[in-house]
Amino acid sequence: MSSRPDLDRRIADWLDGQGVVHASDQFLAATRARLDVSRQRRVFDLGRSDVGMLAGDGRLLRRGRFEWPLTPRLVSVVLVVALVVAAMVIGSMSVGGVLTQRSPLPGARGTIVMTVGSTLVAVDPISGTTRQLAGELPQNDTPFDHVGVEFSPDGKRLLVTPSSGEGVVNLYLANADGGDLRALWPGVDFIGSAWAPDGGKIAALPAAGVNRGVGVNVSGRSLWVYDVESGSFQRYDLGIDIAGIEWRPNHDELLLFVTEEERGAALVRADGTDLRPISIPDGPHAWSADGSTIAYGGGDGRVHLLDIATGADRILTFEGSEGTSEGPTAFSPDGSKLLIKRSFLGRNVAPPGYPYCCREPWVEVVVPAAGGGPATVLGTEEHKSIGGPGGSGMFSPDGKQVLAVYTQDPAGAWMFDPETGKGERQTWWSGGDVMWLPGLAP
Amino acid sequence: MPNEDLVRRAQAGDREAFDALMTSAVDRLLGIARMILHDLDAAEDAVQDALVRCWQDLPALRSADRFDAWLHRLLVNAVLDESRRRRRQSRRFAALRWEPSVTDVSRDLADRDALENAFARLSVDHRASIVLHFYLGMNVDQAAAILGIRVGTAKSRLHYATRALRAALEADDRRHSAGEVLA
Repeated sequence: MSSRPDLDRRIADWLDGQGVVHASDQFLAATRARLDVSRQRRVFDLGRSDVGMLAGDGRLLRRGRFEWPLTPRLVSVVLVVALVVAAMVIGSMSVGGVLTQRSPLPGARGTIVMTVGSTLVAVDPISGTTRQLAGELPQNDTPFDHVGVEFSPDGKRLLVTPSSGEGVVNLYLANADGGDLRALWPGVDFIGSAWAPDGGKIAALPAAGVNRGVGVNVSGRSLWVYDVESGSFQRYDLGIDIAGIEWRPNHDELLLFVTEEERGAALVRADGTDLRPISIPDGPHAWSADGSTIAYGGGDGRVHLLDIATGADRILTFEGSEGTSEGPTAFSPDGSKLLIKRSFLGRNVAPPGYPYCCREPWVEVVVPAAGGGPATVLGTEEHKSIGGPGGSGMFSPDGKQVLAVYTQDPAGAWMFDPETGKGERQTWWSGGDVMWLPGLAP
Repeated sequence: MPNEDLVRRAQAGDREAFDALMTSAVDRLLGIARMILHDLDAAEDAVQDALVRCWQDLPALRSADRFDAWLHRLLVNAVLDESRRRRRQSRRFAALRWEPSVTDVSRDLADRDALENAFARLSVDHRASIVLHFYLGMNVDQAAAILGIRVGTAKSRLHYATRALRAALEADDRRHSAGEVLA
């Protein structure tokens, strides 16, 4: 019988052969023709700050390069125009006009935190003002700068998870401002971690059987639970291979995604007891705030609401969900609404300004958690045609707004009213991930 | 590795420089896309999308030495988009055999058949994991970053897909061993 390294070498050899393809002249000509009609996006760099860089089309970007020649003449023209506009605005105020606060929408609460490179930026959702939090996040040597950040639900502490390669991470704990950073378990590799709902504990899955040469078969078989206040921790052997972990809201219990069965999942108490399977796929899902129910998509326009206590699986459809795949991503804080990523299966559109190709769009939709309608589609007609936000949207802590980040034009972070679907681009966004916390410790 | 000077020139809008970058990379990109999508036409569409996106967004690339990794990320995103777009047709393609590649004649036929059959049964997501890891030599963390999924999910996919391919080879080995004994 062949050894695993030998089997892996044969797989790699076979792939090497499959990867040999020569582009035809016809294909190259067609590609060049498409390139000829496409426009390169110009990017400005207005300073050294990571925050507030503008693209040529007005989008805000994390980092950019100065490309257009800003001649003194051009600068003076821009300044004159800016002064004229400012004078007009002031004039309108003087005759009774009112300057409306463009963004974000009023009523938002809590704090938005944005990762910008290796720094953290806190955003006031009311004023849109930003401040850089102290401290630098630990970096890694991978080409992707993959540093995960997760705040405790109470906003007091920060768990930082830089990758150490091979698919594992190290865990660092810090104050909410990034200060007092320290390794939680120095030298130990983990495959996942999760904050307890009250912020008092951290559950972590230490990696077992890391194959340094191959990087596969990384899984955890034990559960470590760290008590933040006392600094003590307990280890529990679960006896199954686990690839992912999250904490069940409002419960001292964890949801595990099991490696061996691929789509398997299980619940276990935080003391390592009462391990039991649960029938949900490893895909988009949302917990109700009280942790009693989990919503997941069936891929067929339907959403399942699984009652954890009874095992009852309630199936819902929504206004406009026929012919779609519904991926629930969040309950509103009061549990009355669901935020859903709706994909339109097999329905291709040609976005405006994107003449050469079609794509299958998806949108963020807010629907009643009880099913039916109305289904409120978030965004403008442009949003509806480009394929949705780059990640999942999120409710504000008070449920009055939804924040979503779009990676294609009209790119940027957008804040929407879930009742009307109308929203505005957020001027503070400068790239990176965003989180919306109920609060952030000073 | 792409010439970093070419990348910088292309970032500044030099189409000839971009054309040189494209020409040096296009065969490799097509190979990757075809492996994952299992279909050359779909692969060509995905590669075109990736190259157009690359040209449009190139000025925003932070450092020229990351061009390769960034291009692979664009390609995989385009491949997954293309896969979703062709989801219904792909069920039919799954039943088709692969076209033999140029170097197939030098490959062990038994390995090829066993791996082709096993690979064809994998989902697009699993095939992407295999290609990123075994063909492009990425670790799980890098693959997760490119696929935009959790590291745990990437590990799970790679674990499952690798196990399926290894099992196919082992079954084939067992058949060969049994054949030798009988002979």
